[in-house]
Amino acid sequence: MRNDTAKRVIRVVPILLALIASLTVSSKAQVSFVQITDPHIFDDVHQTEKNPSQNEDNVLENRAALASLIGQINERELAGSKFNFIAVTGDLGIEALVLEPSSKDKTDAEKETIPPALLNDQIRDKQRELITNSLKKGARDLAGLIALSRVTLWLFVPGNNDVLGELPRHVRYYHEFMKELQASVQELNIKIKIVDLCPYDETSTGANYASTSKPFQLDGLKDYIFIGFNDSSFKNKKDNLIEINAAAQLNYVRQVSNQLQRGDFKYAYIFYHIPEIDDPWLVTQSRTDDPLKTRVARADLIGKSYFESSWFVRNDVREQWNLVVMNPKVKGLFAGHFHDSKPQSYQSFDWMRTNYPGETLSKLYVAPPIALRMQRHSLTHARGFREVFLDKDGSVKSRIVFLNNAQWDLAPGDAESERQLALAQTYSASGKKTEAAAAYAKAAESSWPPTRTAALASLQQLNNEENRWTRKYLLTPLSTGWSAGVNTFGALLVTIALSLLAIAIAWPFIQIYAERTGRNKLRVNQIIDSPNRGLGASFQQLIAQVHGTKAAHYKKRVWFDAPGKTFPVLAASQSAEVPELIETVVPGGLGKVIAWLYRKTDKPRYNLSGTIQTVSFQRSSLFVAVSGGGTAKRWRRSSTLHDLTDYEVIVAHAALDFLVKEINGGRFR
Amino acid sequence: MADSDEENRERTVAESSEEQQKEKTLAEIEAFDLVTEALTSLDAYQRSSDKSHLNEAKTALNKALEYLNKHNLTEGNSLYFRANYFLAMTNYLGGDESQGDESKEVSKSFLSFPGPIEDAAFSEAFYNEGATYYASESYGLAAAHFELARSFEPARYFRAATAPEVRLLAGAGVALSQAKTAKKLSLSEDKTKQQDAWDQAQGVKVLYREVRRELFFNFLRRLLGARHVERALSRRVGALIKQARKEVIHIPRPQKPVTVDKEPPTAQSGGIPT
Repeated sequence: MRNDTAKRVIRVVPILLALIASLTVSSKAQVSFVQITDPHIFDDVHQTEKNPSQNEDNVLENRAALASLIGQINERELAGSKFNFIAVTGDLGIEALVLEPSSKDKTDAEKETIPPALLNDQIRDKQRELITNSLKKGARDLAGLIALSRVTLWLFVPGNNDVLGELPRHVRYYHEFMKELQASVQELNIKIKIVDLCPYDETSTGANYASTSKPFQLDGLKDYIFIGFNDSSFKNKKDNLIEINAAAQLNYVRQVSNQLQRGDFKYAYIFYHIPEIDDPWLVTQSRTDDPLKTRVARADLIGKSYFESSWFVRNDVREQWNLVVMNPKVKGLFAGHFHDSKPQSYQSFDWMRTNYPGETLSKLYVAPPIALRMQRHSLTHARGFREVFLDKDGSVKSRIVFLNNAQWDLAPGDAESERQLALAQTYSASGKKTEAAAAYAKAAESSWPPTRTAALASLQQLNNEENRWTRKYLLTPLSTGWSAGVNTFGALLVTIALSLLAIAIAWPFIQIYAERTGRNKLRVNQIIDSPNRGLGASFQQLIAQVHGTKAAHYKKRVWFDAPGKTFPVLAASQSAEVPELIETVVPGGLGKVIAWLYRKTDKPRYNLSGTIQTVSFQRSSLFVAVSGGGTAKRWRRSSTLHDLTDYEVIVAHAALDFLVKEINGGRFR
Repeated sequence: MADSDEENRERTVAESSEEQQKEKTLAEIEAFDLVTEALTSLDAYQRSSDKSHLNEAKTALNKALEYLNKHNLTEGNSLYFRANYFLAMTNYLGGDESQGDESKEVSKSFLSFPGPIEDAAFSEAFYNEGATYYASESYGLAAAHFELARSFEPARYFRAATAPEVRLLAGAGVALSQAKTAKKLSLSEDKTKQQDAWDQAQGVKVLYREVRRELFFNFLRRLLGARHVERALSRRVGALIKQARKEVIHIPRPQKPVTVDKEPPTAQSGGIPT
């Protein structure tokens, strides 16, 4: 009894889960992507306070981390996850590529300072060529990594370390790099597309070189728009830049705002580098010391409460930006820039001092950096990437995958779900369907939509496979039979196959037998009468009666004997074969099936058919035909209704006499 | 108008003719039903030996013949023949051997029946006549008819080959008829008749062996499931042939045979009355 209940539960649970899956699928993700930020693959070389004599060079480490990240995403793709694109929210370290030709033969201390000539675009052609070559080389290096990716779309926005001196006009080097990157990637992997979300603004003049916010929409998913926002200058390294850059910065905010005015999308997602919120490092600083002290002093310009903000911008810039953020179409803001080593800094904003608008906090997602920059000597590390999942209603679900000790780890709950999903896939691949179903069910408990969707979809597929009739009635019984050592089903299958073979072989003989046994048999088909008065049925009965008389008359009588007689008398010559009446009416319903089977083994040689038509009130016509055995004869009698019975008797006798004569080689009539 | 009258007359004639034909056919059907009734009465008699069934059969057959005669359905009508045939049988079974002449009439009507396909009935009819003659102790005629029935060879019509029961019973009939004749002759003082008795007795013994052989083959046919004479009838034949042998077994051989080359009478040698 308990076993029965357990079996029932085992059967019902997958069905319920499949139902849940079908319901869940309706709200499944429309877009899924990965946000990575701050790889610093070109510029993570620093003079450290602890050991000023030796630079901290994290470039190779950062490149390895980026390569590992690509590998990790490829693995996820292979495991069933699908990412529409990878968004890189700045700080590849392009600035270093620009500075590199100028840094030769300079001391480390000198390298920290950007040559004024470079900063002011007063460089020679030779130097410009060197910069271009440097950018090309960097682009090729990055292309070599990107070409390995299974995700074929990469979106980029510039970071402050991609723009020389963080000056808006120097975004040109970023643009040059992006062009080189696009070309290099195309050479290595033609499938991969590089999209610059902040390309050169072709409407700008040479003196006011600027980028623009380019929206991007995925094919077939036009409800979603992805906009690049160039805020690489919003840090304003020097307080005097606040005013200098304000116009450009307002322009960049306005570019985004303008894009939001478009009517060809429902949901907007903005990618940029520097988040407008507090910088975790600044939060740890005292407002009485620099750099916060300076900021506090410029409170009139930047706003009274944004001292710890990563943005050191004029208040109107922020206000304009807040308007953008508050736009209901804007569903997500994705930024990076931080290098804080505490994972919590990226998971919530509880640590902030400043109160930002609720929309900002609810829409903003800050990804941890890829780079080791500023974390090498920390007790904790916060490096990784952000997985983002956009629902059908545009809402954002995301989680961070951290890189810890060369391992990509999820938060504990997510990790367990992923583990169960991987386990389920392993079980499924090895044919352990029950175990796989259990693991999928466990994975489906995940709060992470892609994992849940993948688990439920796999579970549904598993359930469908289990319920497929071939599996249910063929494969499973066979498998069970084999494993039990007694392949009952196989034996049954063989028996059925042999039976069918035997029937196929015997069929011609059955036909011959049927023809032989049906040689002297007569089937009286339904006599049709029009209009229907039951005359046909009564005629059938009359035929049956006449047939009975004929049978009694011609019954085989060999001899008659009498008491006291020496010799009996013989009467065998007066016996005759009368066709055996096997059916008077073709049966319906189930009888039809039986009749069909019966007919296969008994084919009456003769058929009697007929109609009775009442052509007028007084007269009827009777048509009867006997066919079969290579002969056919018809009788037609037209009479009054009064005489119809007489003619029915006459025709019934005539028809049966004809058959008796036919069967007995012409004798008797 | 004249044409119309003519048409009406023709239609009336046609309808009248059709009506007469219908009446004739219905009469024949009625006769058929009466013969069937008679046959079922004969079946009942066969089961019960109750002579009342024979009377019923006789009444029905006479009535059938009356219908057929009335509608002139006699010449070449198989039902007419059958009615007479079974009437003769009914008379035979009823012990009214005085109706033997009627059997002869049946035979005549049968012999005059057109169509070679009725060959199978020839031998049977001859046998039945033989049985009737035997019952009236006309052993010579009986033997002659039995011999006719037995030796009839419808070579042209294989389907109508002589039925085995006819051959067996007719063989027994010839033997028993000859045995009766031989026994009667053996009682004579005339040496020639004694010699005839002896010769016929030898013929009976030959027949005995032949019929016994046929019975053996019939037994084999029965074992093989081939067409055979039913067991009761073969036993009856066996009993008859034994009786024939028993009749002649004690017939003494004449001291001085008058002739040595005289053959027993056969159908070909002049047993048939003309």
